[in-house]
Amino acid sequence: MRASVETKRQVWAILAVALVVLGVSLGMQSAYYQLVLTQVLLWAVLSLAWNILSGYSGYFSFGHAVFWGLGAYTVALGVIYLDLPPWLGIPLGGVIGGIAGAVIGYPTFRLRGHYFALAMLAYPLATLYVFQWLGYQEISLPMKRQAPVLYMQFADPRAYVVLALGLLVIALAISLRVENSRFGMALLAIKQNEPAAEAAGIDTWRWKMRAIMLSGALAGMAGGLYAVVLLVVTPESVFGMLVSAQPLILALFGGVGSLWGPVIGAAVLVPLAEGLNGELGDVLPGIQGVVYGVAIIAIILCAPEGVYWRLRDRFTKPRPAGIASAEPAPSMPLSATAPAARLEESGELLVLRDIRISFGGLRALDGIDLIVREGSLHQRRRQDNLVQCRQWLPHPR
Amino acid sequence: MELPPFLAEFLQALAAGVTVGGAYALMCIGLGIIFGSMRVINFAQGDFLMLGMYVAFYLTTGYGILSFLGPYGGPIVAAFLAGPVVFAAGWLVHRFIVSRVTGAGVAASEGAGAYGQIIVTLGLSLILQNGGLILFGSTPTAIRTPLSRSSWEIGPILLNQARVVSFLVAVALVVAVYLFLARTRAGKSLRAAADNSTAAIYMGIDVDRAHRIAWSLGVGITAVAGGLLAGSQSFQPYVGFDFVIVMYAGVVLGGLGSILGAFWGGLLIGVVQQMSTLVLPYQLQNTAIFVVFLLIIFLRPQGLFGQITERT
Repeated sequence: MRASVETKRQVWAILAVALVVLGVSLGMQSAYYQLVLTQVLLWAVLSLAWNILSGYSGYFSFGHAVFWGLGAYTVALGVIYLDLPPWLGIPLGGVIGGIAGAVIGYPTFRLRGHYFALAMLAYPLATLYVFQWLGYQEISLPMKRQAPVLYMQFADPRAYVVLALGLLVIALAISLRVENSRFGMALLAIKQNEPAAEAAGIDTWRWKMRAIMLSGALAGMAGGLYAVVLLVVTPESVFGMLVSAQPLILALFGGVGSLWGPVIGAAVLVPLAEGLNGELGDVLPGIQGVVYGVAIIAIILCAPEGVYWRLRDRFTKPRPAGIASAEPAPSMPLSATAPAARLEESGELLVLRDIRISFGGLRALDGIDLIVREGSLHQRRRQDNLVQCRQWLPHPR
Repeated sequence: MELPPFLAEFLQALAAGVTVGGAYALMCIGLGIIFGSMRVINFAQGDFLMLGMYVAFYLTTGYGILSFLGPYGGPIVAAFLAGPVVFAAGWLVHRFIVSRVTGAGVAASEGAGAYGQIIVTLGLSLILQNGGLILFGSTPTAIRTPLSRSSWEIGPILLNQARVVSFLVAVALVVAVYLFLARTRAGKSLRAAADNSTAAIYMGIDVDRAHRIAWSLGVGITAVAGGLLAGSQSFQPYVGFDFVIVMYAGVVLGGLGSILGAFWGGLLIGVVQQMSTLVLPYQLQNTAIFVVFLLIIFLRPQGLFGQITERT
């Protein structure tokens, strides 16, 4: 099965990236670079979390800072008031992020398009003022000298890189799983045409709720680790507009709705912003923001769909068209490289190999085999799409 | 006649809300024109407002160019002049940057083009904020005029004179904008492009030009609102943030795409903001706006004046 080959390749890619990051981290001496690397990883996680909801389903969220901030405050307040070690605090931040996702999603999914995006913008900003009012203006995590490991207070900054990397691998694995399952398909269908998806029997409400909860949970965990790494939490630094904008910028820059887009965005833009901060920030305060703004505008004007998609289109050849005569409608290209249907001697009634179908940019099926043997019942994933595409196959003569 | 204290407080807050709401209404109309015709979520709108504040500041207090107009006329003329200055800046920004990711083809869909728009306006916002930091410094400033320190007394209510004057100016400008959109050819082409850009193209309307007018006019009007507000509050290069949500709340409250709606929406947001101080602590003033904003979105997403078809 091709689909699983593709998935395996992605798993290897994730492991390879993890090893490279580990290697880079071990090789670097400067604690400052380790911190930048940690931030790259954490922002990549937030951007992936954003991508799960907004990238796949098309429901743009301008307010992911609310999950990030809640995670950060959960960990920070947990350490201060409950002596809760971050090892528990970060998962708790994830749980709270997930609950926040449900609480926010429940009313907000009544809205669509710009209205949804704008409503999401309001949540973190409203929460920001509430936390200011509660008096959590600037809280710093206390030093726990008696049990530094329990409270994630390591002398070696590489430990944070490893922790953040672990979180990133989890986020990538979840994204991959989502992408390759009914979940991701449902979200993509919602993005393409929600009423049509609903008419086709997809419970759009449930999938959207799952997406926002999963997304909130991941963002909450990343925010929690962020609090541990930076040790100081202020409402502006975790609920602010910039935090909400960051995952959006990274994912849009790298490529929305792709596994690697957010990671590419984080790997390029976070060091760029940090480097500008360090190099130019002292010379002329503000110049780093101007350069950063110019950079993202310039790049997006060259590749409006994001770097990942642009590179992929550049370096991968268009797929072979297959049986050209079988294309029923120009908007729904269908290809099957093997003979579409044939009777084999081994009692196989129907053999379909390597079926692909795409609706515009949405790949609904990729590399599906269907073999029906005499006297057997088969259950395959993505069957509904498969059954649909049967009607475009050439009729056996 | 002696009013009971709570009623006096209520009226005071109401008056403060309406007077500050005039400028809010103006900036909401600025945003409403852009959003209504281009369907672009402009994150840089607050920063153009900030730009308007600084233009007005440098024309009066900073360089004193307009000091010959006296302490009363100067700030108002300066606020008006902020409009054309920012209009020109907006024209250039649209010509060279924004028009590449917006336009007739993109306006109707929320496809790949929308991604570019968001990044571009976020990038513009970053450039304006940090450019402002470089040019103007981070110290909060304000335009100090005799007007902003004195107030009229009507019964138990104190009316800040700077705010009352800015309210009147704002209303006058709103009427002017309304007439421009309703009567002139440019205004009509703008509305046509907003209604149905494809049909507008078929009718021989230069949609790209209409969008450029909408964008420049929108940021220009918002800059005038900023110039008016600059007389009654202090500001720094990051002040735009505080107003982005005010503007979006006002525009959504009125109904996306409705100019009249944006006016009433902005006014109402001003009133809500000031009234909330009666029952809520001062820090939660903006939270009250968010709550109202969310309530509108849930209860009546089409807004007070919008059509239900605008919902998606």
